Order: sequence, then C-alpha cells, then structure tokens
Amino acid sequence: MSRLVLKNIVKKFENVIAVDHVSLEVEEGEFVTLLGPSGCGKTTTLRTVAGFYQPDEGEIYFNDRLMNNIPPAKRNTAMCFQSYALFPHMNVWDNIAFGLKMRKVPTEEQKKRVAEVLQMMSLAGMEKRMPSQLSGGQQQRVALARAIVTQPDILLFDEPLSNLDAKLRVQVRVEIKEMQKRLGITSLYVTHDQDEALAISDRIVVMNQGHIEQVGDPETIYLHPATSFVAGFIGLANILNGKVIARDEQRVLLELPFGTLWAFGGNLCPNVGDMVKFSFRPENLVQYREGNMNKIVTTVVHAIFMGNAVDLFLDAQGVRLRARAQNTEKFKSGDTVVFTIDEKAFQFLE
Amino acid sequence: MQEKIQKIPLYIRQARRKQSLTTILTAFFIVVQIIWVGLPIFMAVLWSLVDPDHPWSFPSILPEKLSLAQWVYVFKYTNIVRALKTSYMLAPCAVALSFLLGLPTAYVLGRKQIRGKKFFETIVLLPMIMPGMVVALFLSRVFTAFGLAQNFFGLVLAHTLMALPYMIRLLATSFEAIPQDIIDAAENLGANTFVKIKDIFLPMIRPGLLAGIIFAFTTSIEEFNLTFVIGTPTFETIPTILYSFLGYNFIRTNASVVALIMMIPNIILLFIVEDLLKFDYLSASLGKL
Repeated sequence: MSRLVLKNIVKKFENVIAVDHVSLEVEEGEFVTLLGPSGCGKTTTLRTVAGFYQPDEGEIYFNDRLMNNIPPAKRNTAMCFQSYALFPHMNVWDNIAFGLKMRKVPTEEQKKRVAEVLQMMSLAGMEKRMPSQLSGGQQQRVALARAIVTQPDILLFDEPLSNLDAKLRVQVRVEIKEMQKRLGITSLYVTHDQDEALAISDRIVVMNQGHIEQVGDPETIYLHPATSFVAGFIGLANILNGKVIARDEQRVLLELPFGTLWAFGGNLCPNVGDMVKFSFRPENLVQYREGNMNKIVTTVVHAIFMGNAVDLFLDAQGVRLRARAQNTEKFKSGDTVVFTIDEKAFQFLE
Repeated sequence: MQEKIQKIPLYIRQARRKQSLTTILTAFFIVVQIIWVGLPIFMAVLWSLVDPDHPWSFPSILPEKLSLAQWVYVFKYTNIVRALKTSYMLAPCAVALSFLLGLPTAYVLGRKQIRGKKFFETIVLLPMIMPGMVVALFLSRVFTAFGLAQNFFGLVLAHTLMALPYMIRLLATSFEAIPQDIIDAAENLGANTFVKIKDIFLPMIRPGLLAGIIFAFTTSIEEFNLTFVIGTPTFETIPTILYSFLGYNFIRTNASVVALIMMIPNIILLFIVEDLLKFDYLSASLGKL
C-alpha cells in the first residue's frame, strides 16, 4: 500500500498540453476519482501514474519514492482497463496468475491466491474458460481479479465500467467499492460518469482541459461546486449572472432580469456593485408559499415526465431555468408556476 | 377486407425476393468457382493417367484407357525424387529465414509510428509485383559475384527474397491488430520484453504467422525464375522439372504428373493450417461489447 503524490505533472502530446500542472495527493487506502469530460487529461494522468507515459515536467511519488524513471513493470500498480485487456489466448486461471508468475511467486502460493480471488469475485468454476466464453460482466470481474491478486500498491481504473450495461454498471461499482474498502488498496479511478464518481469515491478530482477544477468529497463537489464548470458538469445546475445591489451581514441582494433574490454569502460575501456568477440545483426551486423571501415567476416551456420526477424547462423573463417537481404534479407548456428558493441554496462561483 | 389482411406486405415480399436473389447468386459463384479451380485439377489428373498406347485426342471426351505409365515414366527418367528433396529442403529453410528476417520488420511496421511508414510498406511489397524473370536476370549477376550461384544457401536466399513480402505483410497486419491495452496490461503486471514477446506477441500473431508460413512455403515450392537462373543445373526443383516438359518439347501428360506432385502437398498444407486457425484470437481479444 502506498500514498500517491503527484507534483506539478505536465504532459504534452506534440503541441497539445494534455495534463497541465496537476498536483494531487492520494492517501493510503483512499479511493480518489478523476472526473471530467473526454479529453480533459484524466486518462493521461492515470497512464502517467502507471508509467505508460513519461511526464514532461513534475514528479510522481509512491510514498517517498520518486517513480518517474521506474518502468511500468516495476511500479507494482495494477490497472483495470476499459477494454478489460484480458489475454485472449489464456484461460481465466492463466490470466489471473500472470502477474504472480511475473513476480516469481511460488506455485503453491500462486494456486492459493488465485483460488482466493476467484472465490472473492464469484468466478469459482470458471478457471478453464477462455475470455471469449465469458459475458461482459464476467470479463470485468476477471480483469479485477487479475489486478488485485498481485496485491498492488496502487489500483488504477480506466473507465472500467463503461462497456457494461446500465444495471450491471451500478452493481459492479458497488462491488468495486466494497472490495477496495476491504482490501484497503489506494485507488485512482478515472470516469466521465458523474453518478459513478459520486457513488464510488472518497474524494473526487474534477478535471477540465488538463487542469484540476476542484478537489473534494462527493458532498462538497455536488453541494458546493467551486467553478461554473464543476457546477455544470456534476448534475444539473442553473448557472446565472447577477449584480449585487444590497447586502446585510451575511446576505446579499442579487438583481436579475426576473427580479431580486436574497442569497446567503457567508464569509465570501461579495460587495455591493459586484457582478457575480452563481448556481443552484433544479431541486432547489420549490413551490412558492406566502411569506417566502424569494419569489420567481416562471412559465413552463417543456415538462418532461421522468418517472421519479417531472423535469421542468422554465422561462423567467427570458432567463432559462431548470426545476424538478414531484411526479404527482401535472404541468403543461404555458402554465405559470411560482417558485421560491432558499437563500442557502446559492453557490457563488469563481 | 379479409383479403387485405392476408396479403403479404410489400416490404416482406421485397425482402424475400432479395434473399432468393442472393441465394441464386451465391450458388452461381460457387459453381463458377468449382469449375474454375476444379476443372484444371480434374483435367490434370486425367492427363496424368493417359495410357501412352491409347492417346487421348479429339473427339473422345475422356481418355480411352487409364494407366499409371506417365507416373512411372516421370519417376524413372527424370530427377523428380531428387528435385522433391531439394524443394522440400529449400522451402522450410526459406520459411525460417523469412520469418527471422520478417519478424522485426513486421513488428516495426505494425506497432511503431515511424516516418515514411507507408513508403517502407510499399517497398517491402515490391518483389511481389516485379516480374520474377526480371528480378532473376539481374539478381543472378549479384549472386554470381558473391559466389551464391549454384549454391544451396544462395537458393535459400533467393527463395527468401520471394517469400519475404508475404511474411512481412501478414505479420505486420497481425501485429497491428493487437490492442495496445493488452500489451500495456502485460507490462503493468510485470512482464519484461522477453515475456511480452514469448507470452503475448507470439501467441497473438499466430494466425498471421501460420498464414505467412503457408504463403512463404508455397511461394518457395512454386518458385521457378530465380531457381532456374542461379540454381540449375546443379539444383533441380519441382518447377524446373515441370518447365522442362513445357516450352518447345511440350509434353502435357508428363507436365500434368509433375504439376500434381507440386500441387497436392500444398493443398494438404492449406487444409491443415485452416484447421489450426479455427480459434481466432484477434476477434476474441476485442471482448464482448
């Protein structure tokens, strides 16, 4: 087990900067996810940790050991690939035992350890099957088994679930999380799926265009996004610009095309006259009742029944808003709906 | 109303018509293919069995009498046995050498990004499109200069030259088809270069390697031009004997015998390898998506 430290990693391809001064620390046994859209540099960062890429600048440490010049074969990481990358000409047993053979583990112990992970991954009885004879979910579990059997210092996951169907994906991500907690292996996980990231991680690193936008636990990332990119990328968000026209101790009055709103600013409270960017979640918009402080009058543009909720596309004096309503309520285009929003629901963005 | 419901919809009728057209066309081309390949072989077999005392001539559709006399003649009065030995000693040597020379080249062409890759790929294929006799005429000077004419090793080199393009091409395609992830996974699990070659690359290029071996082997067995120019009279192979029955003293019956001797082992080889290729690693390696 290792602590992973990245210091100012830069990686360029030709003239494109794929990773731009990324610094990150992953504690022993921690599960950290790199989350971002495709091309944000998350996979490049992961592959740099594995040693498949040499960083152009910066240092990689496992504990206190500088890893920059250590070849991938000697890093004692284990990677789970999106394509599973099982050896197609080897059966399940040989696939899993491959890493142990490379480490010259005695045959008896190999047998014991492979049997153990087969049991753990519910693959017992499939030792002799070839990868092509397994379902996608089984291949995925073989890939996981092959990775953990070597007792790696760091587990690396490169979008391991994106080839599975939606139901299996949810199931396997729980399995991965449980397995990681039980074994306590430091893990770095790459995904573009925000639900997956929120569900599986101790901490999330949101990346965009090669740099880190925000690092935090899932609650912080979702509830307190630091930038408009994070607010927009994780979940749905209404991102608006407004002018501060008044303030009291910890609150500001924001002026918007459709009226004014009181927002709790805390210690970061902006000054009067500032233009600010802020966000709130669709679910923060709730039905207005007499006495509520904030009032937003909207017209329904579309109402989409989602099963567990109704997804509302709203217009408030030319400003587009999204809201979520209970599935028992009925809406149709052109309806006027009045919402309120709690002053603490606002997130001021950089 | 009733009739309308029972009527088969137009799109289904169209689909059926299309399907039956496909079936007819497939059957047609299979028949053409059988005639195209099968008829010459059938004729060769008949010609090789013609009895010398009862010549097969117009208007008889089949030979009057069949005998093994032509076979006996070829084995008795030509060097066919020695030529067989030479041919079947040359071919494995040429295959082995073209594998050894072709493997590194194919690896680079298949897996490395190098400048002018397209150019090298084309250059490698040149011996395939150059007329064999042209290559033979000019190369014979070089071979003579280096003392490689009338020399077994010289013949191995010559055959390797002709076999190499097939070997390189097929191996390069196989190398190219291996997903990088699999190589990365092996490395990630601790494989060094030697292990990667032995346990990953070689097993995974096996289908291409077997195909390359067939092509290289048959090319060598059928090679005439270079062998004739730099090998004869010291060395005779099956094709040089075959050609001796062609040309001015054209003897179709004997030529048929030699042609069959040359052809049959190749066909058997093809079936054996075809059988070995049953499990396609490359398609399996892409996983179930």
